[in-house]
Amino acid sequence: MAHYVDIIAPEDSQEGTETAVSAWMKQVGEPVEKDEPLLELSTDKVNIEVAAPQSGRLTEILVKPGDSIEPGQVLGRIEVGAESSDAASGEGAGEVQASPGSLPRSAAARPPDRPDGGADAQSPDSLSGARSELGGQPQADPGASRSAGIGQSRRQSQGHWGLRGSTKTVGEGTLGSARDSSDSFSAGQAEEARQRLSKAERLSPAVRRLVKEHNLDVTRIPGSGRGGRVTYADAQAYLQQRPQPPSPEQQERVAGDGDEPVVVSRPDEGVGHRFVPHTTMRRKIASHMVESMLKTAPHVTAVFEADLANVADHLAANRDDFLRRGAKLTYTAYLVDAAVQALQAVPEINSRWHDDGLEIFADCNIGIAAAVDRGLVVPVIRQAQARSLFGIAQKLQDLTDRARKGKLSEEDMRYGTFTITNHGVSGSLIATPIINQPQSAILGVGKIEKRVVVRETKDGDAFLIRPMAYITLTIDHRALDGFQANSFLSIFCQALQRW
Amino acid sequence: MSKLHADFDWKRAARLILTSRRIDEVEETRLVPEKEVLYQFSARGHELIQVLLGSLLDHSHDAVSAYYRSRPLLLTLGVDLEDALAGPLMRTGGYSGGRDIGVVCNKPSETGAEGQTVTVLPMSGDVGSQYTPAAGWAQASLYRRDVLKEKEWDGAITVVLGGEGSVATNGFWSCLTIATTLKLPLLFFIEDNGYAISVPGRLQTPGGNIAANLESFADLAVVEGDGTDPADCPAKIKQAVDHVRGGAGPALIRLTVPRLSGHSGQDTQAYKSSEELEQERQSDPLERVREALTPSVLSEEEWESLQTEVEESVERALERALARPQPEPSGVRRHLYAEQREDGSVEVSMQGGLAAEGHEFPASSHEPKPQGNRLNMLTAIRMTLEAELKSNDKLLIFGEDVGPKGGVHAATMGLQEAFGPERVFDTSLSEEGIIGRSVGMAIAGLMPVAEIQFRKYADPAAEQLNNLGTLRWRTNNRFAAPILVRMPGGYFKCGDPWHSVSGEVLWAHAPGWQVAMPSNAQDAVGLLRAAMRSPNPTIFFEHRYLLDAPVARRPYPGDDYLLPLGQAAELTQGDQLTIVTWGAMVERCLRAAEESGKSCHIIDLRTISPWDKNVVLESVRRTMRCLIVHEDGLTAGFGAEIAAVLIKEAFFRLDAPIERMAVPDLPIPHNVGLMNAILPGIEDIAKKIVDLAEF
Repeated sequence: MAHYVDIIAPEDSQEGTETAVSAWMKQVGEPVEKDEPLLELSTDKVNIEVAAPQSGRLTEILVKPGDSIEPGQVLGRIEVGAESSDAASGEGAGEVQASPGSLPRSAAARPPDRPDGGADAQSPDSLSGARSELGGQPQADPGASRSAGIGQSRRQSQGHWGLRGSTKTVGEGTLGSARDSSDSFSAGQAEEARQRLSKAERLSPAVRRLVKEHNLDVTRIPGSGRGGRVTYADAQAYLQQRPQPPSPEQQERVAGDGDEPVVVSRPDEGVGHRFVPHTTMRRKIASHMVESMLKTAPHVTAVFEADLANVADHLAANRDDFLRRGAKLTYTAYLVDAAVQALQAVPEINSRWHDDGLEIFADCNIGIAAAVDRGLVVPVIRQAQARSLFGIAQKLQDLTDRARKGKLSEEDMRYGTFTITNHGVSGSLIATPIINQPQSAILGVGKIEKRVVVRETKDGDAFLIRPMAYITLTIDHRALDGFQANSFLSIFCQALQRW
Repeated sequence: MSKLHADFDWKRAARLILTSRRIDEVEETRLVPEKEVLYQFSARGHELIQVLLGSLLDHSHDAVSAYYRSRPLLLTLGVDLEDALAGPLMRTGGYSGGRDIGVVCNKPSETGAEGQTVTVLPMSGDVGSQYTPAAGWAQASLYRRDVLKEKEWDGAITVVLGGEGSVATNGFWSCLTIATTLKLPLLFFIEDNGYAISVPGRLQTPGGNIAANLESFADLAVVEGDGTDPADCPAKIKQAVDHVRGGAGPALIRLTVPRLSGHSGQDTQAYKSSEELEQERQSDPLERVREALTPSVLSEEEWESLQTEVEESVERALERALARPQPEPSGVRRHLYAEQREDGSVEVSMQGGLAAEGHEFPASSHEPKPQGNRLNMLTAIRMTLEAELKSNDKLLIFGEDVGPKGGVHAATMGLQEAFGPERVFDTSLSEEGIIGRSVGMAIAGLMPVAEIQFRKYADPAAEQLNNLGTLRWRTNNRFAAPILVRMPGGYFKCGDPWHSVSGEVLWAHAPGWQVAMPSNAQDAVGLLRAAMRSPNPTIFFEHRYLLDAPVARRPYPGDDYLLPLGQAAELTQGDQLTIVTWGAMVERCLRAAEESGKSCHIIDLRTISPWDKNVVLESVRRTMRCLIVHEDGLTAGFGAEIAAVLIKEAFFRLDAPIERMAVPDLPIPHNVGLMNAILPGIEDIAKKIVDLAEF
């Protein structure tokens, strides 16, 4: 049942001054909401809005702009009740749309009009677009999955330190400065802030940029700043002394130097040569070994010796931090990391023999031979060169966990370009493993044990006790020669000693 | 009906009064409701006296300092109808090209067929600020006549207009003191309409009548009249103008008028009773002029047709004004400072400063030629002032105690003796007056060098300083007022909250100023000379400690040495840390760097507006660490600005947080121990250097 409510000029806000109507914001016939401004009054320097006393429809306007008004005067009327059913119907909504010009405020707040009321429902396209931007991968096409996955992992890996570090550091910095508004930060507070941040998180913008540009693992850079902070100079010094991986241009040049045509493959096309599983794992291994050792590749092995003292220290210093961040740090992670550096320095090792040429891979997809209940599996860390030590440790943990549970998929063991067998874990000092075909080399790591070694010190030669391990590289002599094996091993051992 | 004063052209007066009235009506009834004019100030009721005054200003070097209700005067002085309308409409052209309120007026002197027109000084929007610049013009007119021997300035007068509310302001009293003590040809034209917005005149001066109260003021002629009565006020106005033009010193005339409108378009005048409003309507000067002129001067028909004619001409002008384009937003940043054209020449303002009259300076050199013994900074400053006084006869030096005493810091020692009391002189104790007067002098084509005795004493001049900074921008390059303000400050052997203030950041924040803060005698000479020859106003901060500090002493670099503002000095080369500093902190940073053993690149900014961003950025991008040290307070000190710029421009080249060292947010204490506890000390700075270098 409709009734009418008067719009009354306010009593309290006029303070005895002259009041006039400046403008109506609503037209007769328009629906109005309770408390919505209806008209504006002006007094001396002050403008007052008069709001709707009730929801309804404006049916009468009794004063026009310029009219002087008195407190308590009736300015207009609202019909209440009758239009409520209209508002719910499409007709009511249509009326609102029909006069957008008279509704500047509410129009601005509304989303673009959708006549069918469908504005709320997002289209399927925009929805999936949003999801994939958030990092989800399309799963339908395995080929696309592979390339997207690889790209994704590289981006995540590169962005890791920057993203994580920047979020935290900004937060801490803000807190610090808000707390301490006087003469900059005090040493105590700064120290406190420093201690809360791990080494990797305490990076300045300049270092953060270097880390991102060069894909550096900050935990590996010795920090000379306060509390071991990695300064820009530290990061630069580290960059200069680390072995430079050959650029893609260099690789092209090396590959193109010979007379024979050489195919330089992209990881997602060239490494698709997988070995076919047999009915039992044993048979499979047997066949594979015979194939490799006796029918395919003439094996040659070189032996080096690595000093793992620095690795041991670094591991001890970072184990807890890694654990806190979700990865178990093991010697194997350092081996993978060192293998990447050596492979990048001697890229021909990372290859496959073809009768008409050597296929050199750009990515270091490193297989880790692992003993399981009924034999041996070789899960692969793909694109290990794009991973930090943390990234390697994380992936290793994932693979070994699943290997123990028998949950590895075929996919996990494909696309290897190089293999490490850590035979020392079961006590072996030196071994000559068989190459995991169709790769060109395999690295064997013997048992780490403390040995007396002779070192030159400033006081002359000295006996030192160091954790040592024999490292072997077995190569396919068709593809590679001893000097390449030796140069690989030399870089590999140096990389381990540099921690 | 008494006879109309014969010295006035009453037909012209009638036309002007009707024109002004018609513009107000059109604005009030059409343009304000239509929101074409957003800020309307009506002159209704004030027309008669202004039109009469304007018709008496016939000297090419007369100047007027106007206020909010001065449109009738501006029309009388020849402001084009279309321009007068375009201002409130915020269109291009006019007084400010849409930058300022339409009635905040100005009018450069122009030479046309009828000779050179009167100058309307660039008005400011704050009531009371119109006074002391008028005193400056008046004093300059005597200087040009007597010292520069420019005969054409003889007989020029200055008129400053104000309402009865303005007689309560600092500016009024400061100006009154200057005008009467110096017997300046200055007329105070007080249009008393009874209200300052809503506040009645009795709260502005006891009894509400400034003329009565000034009756006994020495060296001031006082005149009073009814500003609505065509039989009374013309003679009174003429009497006052003649008194001043005759060289008998200043006069004040108070004319009562009704304000037939609110203060502005927004004011409904609810504070006036209906009887009072009716009484004001009854005393409308327009009606009284009509009564007086018809039929003896104009027949009723002629009056009617004049009215119609005026209405039509306003209508035509309004159409043209409305057709003018809106000002181009891309141009809004222009003309805060003097701008250079592509060929390197300066785009000079129409009036104000030495440049507008084509002054040529002796040759200068950016190469110092140090000669002789080291001088302290004080002597170097005095020698530079002396050299510029010698080579530029338009340059004046003034302030408190700068005359026979030679300044409380002795920077002007002997200069009055050498150059005379017209060029080097003491002023009354009013910083508002010192700076306001400088503005008027600069607009009159002189180069004022004002001394503010201590930095803190610039506080009373804040309004004039701020208005001067924006003057060129506000008038869209019609006017400029380059002046030099020397102000000693900073700590000395002891400190205190009054004599040791720095606070230089204030004028880096205030638009339009150049701020120099030299750390040694050679830089002081070069920057001082640059400032005295600059087309822009400059604050020249003389640090009290440095005036005689051995570390600031240098050989005199020559009378032609000029150091452009905005060039930092790189004092030491280093790669571990950049230190940005200026003023008295330069020495402390040099010593702290040495003590720290770190390799520091120390930059003495020398000027903070403009500041040498490039040198600082280049250095910080290299060292990746930066410490900023200044004596001014920490919070929102200029170091904060530098730090913000570095964070943005060198973000990825920062390897440590940017650090600031400054006095904490406190006044400088008097006790030496207390003072040293809050000034950044050498050891504190050294510690901070180590802290940052090893961060």
